[in-house]
Amino acid sequence: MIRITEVTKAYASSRGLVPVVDGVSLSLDAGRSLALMGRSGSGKTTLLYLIGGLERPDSGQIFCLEQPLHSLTGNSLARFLRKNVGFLFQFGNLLSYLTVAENVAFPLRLNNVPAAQRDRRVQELLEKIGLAPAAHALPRELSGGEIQRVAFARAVAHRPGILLADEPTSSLDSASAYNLMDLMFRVGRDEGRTTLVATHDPAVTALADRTVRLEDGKIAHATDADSTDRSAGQES
Amino acid sequence: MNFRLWWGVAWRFLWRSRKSTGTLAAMIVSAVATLIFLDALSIGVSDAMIRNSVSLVSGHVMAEHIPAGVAQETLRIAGVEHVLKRRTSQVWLRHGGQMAATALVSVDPQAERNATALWRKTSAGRYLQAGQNELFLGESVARKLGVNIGDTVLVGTTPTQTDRELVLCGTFRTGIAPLDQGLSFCPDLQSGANEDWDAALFLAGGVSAESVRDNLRLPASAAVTTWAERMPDLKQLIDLNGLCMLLVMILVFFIVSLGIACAFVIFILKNIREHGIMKSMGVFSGETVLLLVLEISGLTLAASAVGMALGCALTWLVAGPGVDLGALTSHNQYFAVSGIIHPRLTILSLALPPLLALLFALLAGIWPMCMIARQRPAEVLRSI
Repeated sequence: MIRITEVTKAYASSRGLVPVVDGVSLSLDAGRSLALMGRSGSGKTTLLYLIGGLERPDSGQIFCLEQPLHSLTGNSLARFLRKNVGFLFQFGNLLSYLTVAENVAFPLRLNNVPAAQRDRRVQELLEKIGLAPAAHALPRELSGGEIQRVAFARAVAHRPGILLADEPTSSLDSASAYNLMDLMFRVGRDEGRTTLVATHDPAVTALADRTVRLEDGKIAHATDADSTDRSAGQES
Repeated sequence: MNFRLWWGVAWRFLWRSRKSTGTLAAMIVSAVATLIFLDALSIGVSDAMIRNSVSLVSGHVMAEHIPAGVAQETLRIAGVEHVLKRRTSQVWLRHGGQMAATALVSVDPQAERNATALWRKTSAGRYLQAGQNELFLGESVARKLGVNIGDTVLVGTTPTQTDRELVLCGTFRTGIAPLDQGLSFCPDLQSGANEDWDAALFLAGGVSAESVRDNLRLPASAAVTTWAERMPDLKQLIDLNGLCMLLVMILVFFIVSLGIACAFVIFILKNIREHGIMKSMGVFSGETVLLLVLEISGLTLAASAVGMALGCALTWLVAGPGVDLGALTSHNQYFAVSGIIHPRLTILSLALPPLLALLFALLAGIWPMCMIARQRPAEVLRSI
């Protein structure tokens, strides 16, 4: 369960303080998926970072899995992230000096998963993403689509309760993008994971349970999968 | 904190980023190898000064007023290569109305030839032969007395007394005034068998004179001194040499470390995004610091090991033939016998350069470590 209330975040720049997320409130039940839409600069990535604990809000509250993320710091925050959150970045961002299998295993090692169990989970995921033969390849040997699939496997290896994906398909062709999104939402539903995806891609909205559109840091529009419209400005 | 995990990540990073690792390592290898060789050379210079100074006459350790009942072999303890038995008396030498005061040292000529280098400093005539009533005198004293090779010199304990007559067989010139003007030599004819005697001990390479002095078991009446106690000027020169070398090492590493620091900062910041990714996965700040410390120290220690091997090899290659600095030392009293330097390694000369390399490398890593550890993941990810 994710619940954010009146969250704001502004960055200092030569133009002064620029509000990037401005009084956003939303909630998402456990196991559900949400697509965050909006133009570049609308605040999608920042909101995702705030929800994922990678950034700290200037004001407001963020609760993830009943934990007050807005007040967690240091090792407590890191401990929460390593156990409960998986992040999928725009360009995969694999660790360049680790092989495919080592990248996928990394969050499992952080969580001190025993070796046998770890190896089984890595094998299971590599087969699911169709890259078992590339287990010992380095990221530089993979295509863009393969990198994103490995990044997805890494993000979900430790079975986090929350998966946050920041424009994961922006560098992919439409077929690869659809396949990745389908895999992400399908595995998410199977494993009961709450999934948030920041995206430009309208095709993603068809796969998510809910869509929220951001404009200038505020919620402009929200739609459920059953096409129920919600008011602009606040979403609950 | 899972040390094994982070060690595995660190060495994989170093091994799979071979180009940048190799470039950085090359800087450290060359710095360490150079400093090890330079330090070995500096030690070789000190060794040569000591060797040149003690090998003429005095030996590394001198024992005086040894009772007659003490056998010569008593002094041949571990580390002692030669024990030269001598008897010294203050005498007046007279010839043709001229006189000079000197210390007359009765020696075993063959043993002296084997252990000392004074016989190589013969300027006229020849060195002593056993069983002869001969005198080997400093050239300047012979000139003062007006005595030539083959002339007889009167020897007495007072200016007017004659105890014996010795024939001048040769003169020597070392360039060291106290030696040239203060000592003369004659074969020991065993006439003073019941008298106290002196010993000059010559030690094997690397043996501490102080430890030999401390381990000698002699009656309390015997006075034992080391070369450092008898030649404080030489001791100070050697200490100064050592201090200068240490300063050179620190300065060189400080300057080299500026380059290493820049390279390390680039090395770490090049991968800052990956540290941001790791932080987003819940890596603790302490683990980030541990990873960087392992990367820096792993790289530095591995490169230092190669540098040590290279430094040792270079030292070993040069140590055999030595470096001939005769052209620069021919007028220097501390190189009276030979100007050849043989570099020598010690535990400290091997250990200090790598330790300095590690210290400066870790210091260089402090700023990027703090920067990455303190920033939130989003800040690190945005910093590229």
